[in-house]
Amino acid sequence: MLDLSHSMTIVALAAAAGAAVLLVWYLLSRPALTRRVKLVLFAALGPLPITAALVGNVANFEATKERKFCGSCHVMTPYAADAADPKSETLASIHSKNPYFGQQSCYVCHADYGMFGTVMTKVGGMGHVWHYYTEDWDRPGHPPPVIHEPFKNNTCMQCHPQDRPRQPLEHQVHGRAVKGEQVACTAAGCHGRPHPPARPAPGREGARAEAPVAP
Amino acid sequence: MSDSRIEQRVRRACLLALAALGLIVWSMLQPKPLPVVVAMSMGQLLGTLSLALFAYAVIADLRERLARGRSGLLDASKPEPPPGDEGSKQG
Repeated sequence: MLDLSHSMTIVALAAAAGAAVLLVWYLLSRPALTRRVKLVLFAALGPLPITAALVGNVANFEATKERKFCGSCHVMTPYAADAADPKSETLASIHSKNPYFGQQSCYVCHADYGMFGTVMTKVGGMGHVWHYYTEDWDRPGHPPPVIHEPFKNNTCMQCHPQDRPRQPLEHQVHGRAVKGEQVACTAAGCHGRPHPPARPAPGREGARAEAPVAP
Repeated sequence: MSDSRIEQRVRRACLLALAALGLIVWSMLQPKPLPVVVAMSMGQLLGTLSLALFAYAVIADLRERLARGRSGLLDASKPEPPPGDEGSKQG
């Protein structure tokens, strides 16, 4: 069964194809600009492309939430592959097995929340795209990707609120520090790294054995 | 603006729209960062420009037709010379 994203993709492609057929017909046959031809051209230059663009934008926004989209930049491939690995026991993989996260596990954990959360996430994503295309990530010695600001405990607490009764002792002891972002949920000794440590890219082994904490 | 110039603008609008649609379709078929960013920036820009160009051409065409209609009305409102005038000039 088709999901919403695929349905929108089909609608956008159909609208684009309809507009393209009419435009190509006009360009090849070059009819006189009668009122009827103008109406046809209006459909081909107005409602149909606008539908394709609007529905396509929504479909693209949905596509950008998918893990395979995040993993399509090769610097992110190890993280996406680990999250998708059912045998891995990293936090990312454990969460990706949960249907709530599923194929959108990168986005669910790394999105900003709040009123403008989606917009701010996309703005941050544009920064990632900029860095990806303007830097030589294969250059020996280039550091692996890091998140632009420390991962917020608040993101974890969207699903794991700390004000529930019968919290584990560690949460009770460190509750205030966790809420105040003084101790990270992903700190060593707590829940640990969410992703495997970054490895040097093939051909540059030894350039950097241990990398900063990955996103 | 002459009819040929209007048609040329409409053709350009069609080409711009085809380029925009191509970018949109590219991003749909290959949802990766570059195609998506290009489609949502350049694609939208080209599409908007094509519609604006088409609207400009249609408005120019309408103005042209209105101007022609007015000049036709003015010509029709001029009094025709009496039939005898032609003969007197020839004679």
